[in-house]
Amino acid sequence: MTERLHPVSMMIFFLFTIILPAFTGNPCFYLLSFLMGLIMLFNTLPSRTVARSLTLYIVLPVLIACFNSLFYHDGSTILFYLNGMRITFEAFAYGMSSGLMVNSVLIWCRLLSHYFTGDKIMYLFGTFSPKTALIISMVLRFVPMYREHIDAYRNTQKLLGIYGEGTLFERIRGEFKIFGGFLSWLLEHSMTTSDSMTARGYGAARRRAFKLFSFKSFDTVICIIVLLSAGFNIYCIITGVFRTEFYPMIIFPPLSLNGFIAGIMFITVSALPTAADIIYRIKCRKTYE
Amino acid sequence: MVLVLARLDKRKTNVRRIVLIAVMTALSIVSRFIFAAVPAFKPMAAIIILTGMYLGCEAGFMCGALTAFLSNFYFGQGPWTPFQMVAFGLVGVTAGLLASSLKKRRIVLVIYGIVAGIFYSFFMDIWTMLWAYSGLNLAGYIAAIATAVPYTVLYAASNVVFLLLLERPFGRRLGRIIHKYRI
Amino acid sequence: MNNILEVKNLSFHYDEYDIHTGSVTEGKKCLNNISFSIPAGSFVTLCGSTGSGKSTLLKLLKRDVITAGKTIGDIYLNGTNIKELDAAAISSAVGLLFQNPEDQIVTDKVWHEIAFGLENLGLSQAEMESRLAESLAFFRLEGISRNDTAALSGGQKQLVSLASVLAMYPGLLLLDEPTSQLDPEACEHYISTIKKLQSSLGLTVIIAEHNLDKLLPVSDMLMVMENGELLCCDTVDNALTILSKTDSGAKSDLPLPTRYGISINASSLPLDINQGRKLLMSNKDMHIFGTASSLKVAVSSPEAASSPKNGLSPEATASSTATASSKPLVKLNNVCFKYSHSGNDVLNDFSASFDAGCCYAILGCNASGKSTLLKLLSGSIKPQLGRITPKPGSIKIAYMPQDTDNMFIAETIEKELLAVGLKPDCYPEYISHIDRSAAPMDLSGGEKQLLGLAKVSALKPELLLLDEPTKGTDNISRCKMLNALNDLKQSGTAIIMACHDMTFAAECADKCAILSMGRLTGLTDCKTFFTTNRLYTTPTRTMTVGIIDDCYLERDILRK
Repeated sequence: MTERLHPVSMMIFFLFTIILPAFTGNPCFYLLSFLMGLIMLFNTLPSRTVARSLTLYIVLPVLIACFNSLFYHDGSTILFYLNGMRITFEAFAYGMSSGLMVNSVLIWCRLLSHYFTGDKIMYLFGTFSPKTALIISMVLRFVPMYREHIDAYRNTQKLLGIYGEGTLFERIRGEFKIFGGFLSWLLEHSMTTSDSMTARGYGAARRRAFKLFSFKSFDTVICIIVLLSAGFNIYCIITGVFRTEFYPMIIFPPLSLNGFIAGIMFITVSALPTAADIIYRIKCRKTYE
Repeated sequence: MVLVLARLDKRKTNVRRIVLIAVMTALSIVSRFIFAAVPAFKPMAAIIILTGMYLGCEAGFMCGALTAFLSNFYFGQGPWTPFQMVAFGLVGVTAGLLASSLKKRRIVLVIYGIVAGIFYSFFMDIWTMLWAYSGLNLAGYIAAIATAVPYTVLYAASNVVFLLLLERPFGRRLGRIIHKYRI
Repeated sequence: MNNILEVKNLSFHYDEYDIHTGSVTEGKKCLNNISFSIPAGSFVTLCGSTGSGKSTLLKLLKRDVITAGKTIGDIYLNGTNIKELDAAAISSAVGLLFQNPEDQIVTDKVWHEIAFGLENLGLSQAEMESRLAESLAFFRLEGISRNDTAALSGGQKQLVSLASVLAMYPGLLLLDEPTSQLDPEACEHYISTIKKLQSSLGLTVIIAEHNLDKLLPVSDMLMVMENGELLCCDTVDNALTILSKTDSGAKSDLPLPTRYGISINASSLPLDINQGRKLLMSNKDMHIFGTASSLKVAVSSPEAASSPKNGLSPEATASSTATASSKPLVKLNNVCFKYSHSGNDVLNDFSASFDAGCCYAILGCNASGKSTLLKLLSGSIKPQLGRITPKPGSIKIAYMPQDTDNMFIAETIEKELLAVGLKPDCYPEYISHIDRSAAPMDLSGGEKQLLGLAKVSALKPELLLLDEPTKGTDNISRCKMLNALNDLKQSGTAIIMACHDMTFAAECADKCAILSMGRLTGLTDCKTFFTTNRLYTTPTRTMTVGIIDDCYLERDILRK
């Protein structure tokens, strides 16, 4: 279901999951957001792909923590001295917390780039800047074409045996000659492309982008829930429900009902697309049986 | 960013120019693919600078911002995307503003390449600082700059190398097209 | 009179821009005082040799496409001068399509490409949706509507472009060599789609093309251009009568039956093979007992008889026997190749041997593996099973790809040929007519092929691989290419070409075979191949089957 979301509601959803946790300043919330992202990632990509990238998500916080404790020496709990520098638990913990936050942002961004396909980007751009949307569409068409063509081009030149042999310097020179030729090719051909655009009336009238997506009830649900939850979470952030102190000592905020509700709300929102996906899959399976 | 793009949209642009912007953006993304195996040493910034030089500020900005935005769909989108978009966009715009002097003397081009590389690296260090320290932090920024020195050098060096190698073929061919088709 | 298009005294010259001085001068006159009118709903074929001004004329009729140049004269569309129409009106009323399938696709998805023109017109969402649905249904593109345009075949790309233009509801459709880059199957499908548009929707179509075999039988009118002038614009029969009395280069592009009719001065000219056969039948005596043409038939038969084993022309036999007797130039043993793990074998237990100084034509339909075979021989891909001896690196191989654009990297032709060590004073004769200072990209299809051939032959290869050498060429370039290939053959080069063009294969090759089911079926000499085949053979053969024996070359029935 996630990929069927309207670009606008999808954008709202991802803005919420990417940005909101980062502003809570609370490591527990970071962890929660990261775990929810991970669940959605497992639901989106093959498990093996996700498992392979888990190493990064484990190494990254540790790295940032080490880095932070090397540069920051505040904090009351001294672990040990390194070259006369104090290495403190608080600085390490702060680094871990930042790492978790980066993780959470990374994982949601990864989901965003998976679900935000070319046509959705174009839809969003098309509403406020049709020209940019058109350029994006053209770039998305040109990139695979150029990649294919430059391979064919290099191959042909290599087979002609004129370039691509000799010393390293000669080879690099050859590659640039080939690149120059490729450049001529694409510039010349792009002029026919623009002729074809003129022929189909580009610039003749005010351009209006074709809208491929429709706003469904599921989109409305997502939008309302996201906005409600975002509103409540922002209220919590402002009132300091999540505020965590690291220096000189780690002080977690007291457990509060508001914090609890905010957490539940975040879980609900971030689990919504995954839940819808699973229900959809079950329904599909029934149809096939 | 959105506002800039929306503003640019109001301006009436020649079809051929639009196609050329798309072509150059696609080309710089493809160049990122070609040099995907080499860290930091990429011709993207050089191509963006050349676009700005020969096709103007608007084209330079579009090419820079869209290169960052769209190539990240292939190489991984992240919170760094907006920073890259702004950084590359600015590199392109500035190249457009300095076009006449960049075209006249190669040494200016080389210096601009170095400056653009350093600027890009420093700009991206703001990102590193913001995310690693969740806020403005001078010491953190300096630390980020210090650790990124090899990258800064690579950015600047790749810019210079590719600008020197690509300027002539680009200039001649784009010039031919621009004259032939009156763009 | 209900004329959709009326052109009065149209002349045009491009501006010439001097890069060094920056001055704009008036260039060569491209169109000279052209007047004609086209009744609504006609199917018009526009022919003429390369550089006769066909493309320029089509672009002028569309307005707005040509930016640099000076136009004199008037064009009336449905009685209104097109200068008075606004940009939106003309862009929807007149559709223009170009030659290269790659170039005119603008967006990344099929649906978006079709909607592109509608977006430009600023139509409402509901109207765009209904027109999109309509076009997808009419052109049967529904199944690929959400596909990436980059993954389409050439024929599909041309259809998508056509659908995109048709969605704008044009009354006049201008097509600039739309099928020259397509293979025969896609080409036939495309032409039948255009014909359907014209006959069932009443669209007026003007189509410029070199290969008229499939077009002429479906056309209502024929326009012939020569050096920027309009030779004639009339019904097909009248225009052919006029054309037959001139010595225009366009004559050589006519279908074989028509040329045959002209050569025997027939009163009504046949347009397709069937009509041609009837004409031939009634003039049968002339061929068997006549003077000039029967001599040619007679000459070609003993030639084949003298070398019954391989049917090579005498000179090729002489040069090949020297090497062939010892061992073949290249030998493939049980080669297998497939592109993906789960895919079918493209080549399956493929075995063949190729001799020096001999020309082989590999025929076969699309995706039968012809290009793959050439790539294997060139060494750019390796066989997954089996062996090629000797290794591709050990003999000098040159490869000319389908897309000759890939061969050129320099900015001028002179530099291009200097890169292979060819100085201006030793250019082969067949490229002498091309301007040396021009950019290779600016050449016409046929000229590009000739330049490519000059480039590969300058490398003095032992084995020359050609992929569709006649794609997008006119007849004049093909004749030149034929001579060039014969020269190469005599110097001992083995030539292997993948080809759809039977006529060219018959003229050029010593041995032919069909690549089918991953194997080379029945590699025999050209004559045996084309005279025994009934379904898959040259137009000459299909026209003469059962009337004249052993006749498969055009020169056998055409009188000089």
